[in-house]
Amino acid sequence: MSRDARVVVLGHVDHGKSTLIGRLLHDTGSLPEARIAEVVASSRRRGLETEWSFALDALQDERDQAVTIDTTRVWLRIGERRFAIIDAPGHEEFLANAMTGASDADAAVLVVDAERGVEDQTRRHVYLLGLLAIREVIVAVNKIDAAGDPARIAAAGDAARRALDAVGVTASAVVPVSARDGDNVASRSARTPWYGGPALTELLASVAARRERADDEPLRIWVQDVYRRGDERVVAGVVRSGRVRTGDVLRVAPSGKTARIAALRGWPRDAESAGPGEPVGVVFDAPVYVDRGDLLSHEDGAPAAVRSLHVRVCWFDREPPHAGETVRLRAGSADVSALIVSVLATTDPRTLEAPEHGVASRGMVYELALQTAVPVALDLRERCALARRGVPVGAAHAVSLQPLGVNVVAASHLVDASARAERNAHRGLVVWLTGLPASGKTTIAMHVERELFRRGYHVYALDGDTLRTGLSRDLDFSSEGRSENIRRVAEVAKLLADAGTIALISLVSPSASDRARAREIVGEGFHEVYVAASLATCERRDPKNLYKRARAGEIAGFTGIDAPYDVPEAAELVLNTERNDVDRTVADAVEYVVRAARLRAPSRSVNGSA
Amino acid sequence: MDRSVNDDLDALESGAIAIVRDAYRLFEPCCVLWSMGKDSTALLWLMRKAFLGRVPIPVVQLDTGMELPEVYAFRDQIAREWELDLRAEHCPPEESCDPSLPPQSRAAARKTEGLRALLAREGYRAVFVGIRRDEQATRAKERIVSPRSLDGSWNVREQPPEFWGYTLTEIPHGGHVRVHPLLAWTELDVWRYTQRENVPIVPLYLAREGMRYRSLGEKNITLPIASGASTIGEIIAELETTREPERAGRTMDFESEASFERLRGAGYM
Repeated sequence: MSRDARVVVLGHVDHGKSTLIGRLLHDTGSLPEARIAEVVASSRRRGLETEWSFALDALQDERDQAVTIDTTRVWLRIGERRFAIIDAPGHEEFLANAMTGASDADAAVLVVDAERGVEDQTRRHVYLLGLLAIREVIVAVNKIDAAGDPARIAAAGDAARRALDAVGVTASAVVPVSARDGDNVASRSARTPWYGGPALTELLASVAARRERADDEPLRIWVQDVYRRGDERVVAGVVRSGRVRTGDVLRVAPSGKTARIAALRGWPRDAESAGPGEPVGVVFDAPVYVDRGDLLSHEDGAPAAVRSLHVRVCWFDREPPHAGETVRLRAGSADVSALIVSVLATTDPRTLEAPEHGVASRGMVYELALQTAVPVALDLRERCALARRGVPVGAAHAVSLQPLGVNVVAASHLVDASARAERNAHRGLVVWLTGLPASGKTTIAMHVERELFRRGYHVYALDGDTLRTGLSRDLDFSSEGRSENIRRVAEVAKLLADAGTIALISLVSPSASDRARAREIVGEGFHEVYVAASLATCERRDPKNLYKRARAGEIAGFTGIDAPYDVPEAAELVLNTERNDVDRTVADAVEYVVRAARLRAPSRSVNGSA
Repeated sequence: MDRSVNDDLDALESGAIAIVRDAYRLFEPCCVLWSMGKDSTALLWLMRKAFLGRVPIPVVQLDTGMELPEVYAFRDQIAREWELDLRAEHCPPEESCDPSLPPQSRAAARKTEGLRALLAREGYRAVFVGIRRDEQATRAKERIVSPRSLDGSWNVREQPPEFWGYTLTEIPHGGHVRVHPLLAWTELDVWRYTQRENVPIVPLYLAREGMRYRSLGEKNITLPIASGASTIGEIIAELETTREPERAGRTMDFESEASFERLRGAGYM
């Protein structure tokens, strides 16, 4: 028995996709008897002839409005093979549903009405096929019963071929069909002597099976979670490409650490190796910090860690992407905050040109420059998603990556701090937000940053996570590691403040002596802000599930659970996030910072007598 | 077993394990529904694989008190052998259901109410459910991670996009998500997997005196079908040729055209 394949059926609304699938199901004997009876009865109730699309359009609205709203899939048997037939809605409004259906297909049938030819949604769907890199596309020119004229039918097929060519997809066949009457669907039709080619089912039977990535590609493992099992930490993930074996040395991206695999855990038995698509449970022979979102590879051919990248994205949301907006970039298990720095280009997939002004964003293709909050490891052309509020709103590929580099610049300044302050109209300073994990430090810092930026201040928010994945990625979470991390952060903060920037630092920094040292390093412009919330509240919030994991014993030395937090005794400002909401605390913080950054009385003369 | 069939099962299992691991990490607390049927039992089996031997979350049975005795016996045996954290959730009585619902749909409505009560009490943010697209036409429209509003209802018109394994990651305010790791599987796949992995099943699935259950529901609303299939291998052979739908023995599906959609809209699995 040969392998299963997934085939998506696409095309403009009303060109007959659902009817064609219903016909395929019926003529291949794939439709249960009871279902046929149900379709006939349901059609009759609506005063219609047998409407095969009802076999798929199960929702009441769909039957009543005779339009497919959501994607669905049914199974078709042709000979020994099974095909998952995916019906994707053709209506413009439901493009995201079409993508949902099409994204894992091995092949596609593009349905084109013989009389109406290639229309708007046909072009959008053709573009999706290019985006998805579906290699086998069969064009079915439908409704030949109505069109009749072979020249016209051929013209519709040619137009579809040209549209596919324009996005780099070659049609593997063009077949004239009548979904209504069954011509060339499951058997060759006598009505089309001018065609004489195979029927649709014959073409489908030769579609290649599920494409798997070869295991000679570079190894990539997406880390999903870390499980504690007795004394072991098992890194749970999935092999994206390549092959992994016990004894291999793996590199963790973006941190760059390496460790050797002691075992590949599995149940009921361990594995010796794993290939593309397979789950793994990696146990390292030495402690190494790994967490969800990391990417494991071999040392050779490791992926790039980037913060700046360009993506091409097919957009599904009603609201277009805006420069200055923060979205989530998802690449495998990584899910990071990303600022849209600029919208570089917009393409209307129906014309392959820039859209006319005022065209809806849904279905548009954007090229965006992104800056991520933390480094993320990914490969060029990897399938990514952009998300808003946890909902994937765009299917993206990275089209260019700028790897993180190091520039060592020695400088002796001829400009002093007061000159910079004069130019900026405010002073540089360090605002050090300390508090329990999940007390709200970073949220406050990011909002304050946005507000001050809006008001024209030079401001930069630096959070603990960012520093840990970059500057301090060689450090662990021991008390020595924490102290050294805080020292480095303080040094960086001082540089930012010297450069005239308001540096907003959000760092748990639990030790009073470490904070005192930071104050010493920074000197005059240091402002300690205590972000106060009770342990119970922080634990309830737990947005990163860290408390849960600490309670479960997966994280040792976690502040608040099994490591102490020294409450500041003389903080310059206390923000209580338990009693006050975000708006209030941010407003308080902004007011404080604006006052602290204000220049002393201007030296120039005040207008009046001169 | 044919090598390519084996590869297809591997791919389905791997995909389901990836879904289970992601959702377990992203949504907390969560639970899995177990009806003791072949699908949710296969789901528990692969969760044991995902989590290296043990299902780490509560296993909830929505109990109407109307399952067949063999089903309860199976539940207790497996729960013991697999060390499940089993929670039988007693569903409210039939009298508390919407009286306009057709009688055969009331067991499902009771389960919906039982689930709603459980979610309200335990605050689960994610519920793993072993439904499949090929079971029923409205289930074919489902998402792998499917949001539910505060009252548990399903808004089929506004489902989130899902592509390349990227699913919803945030729970709607006050609501929860249903996670469907077996959505891409077929009835045949579940049987082939059950056979390959030697997953235990309720013996009622196997024919005795020419009758067997193809789908297991409450005893008053599920009928056995005529079949001579007394081993899993014979069931597979039977399914490879049948044109009868799986839920033919489920009387509730056929009462009116929209009754299943209506039940699902209200929060049924």
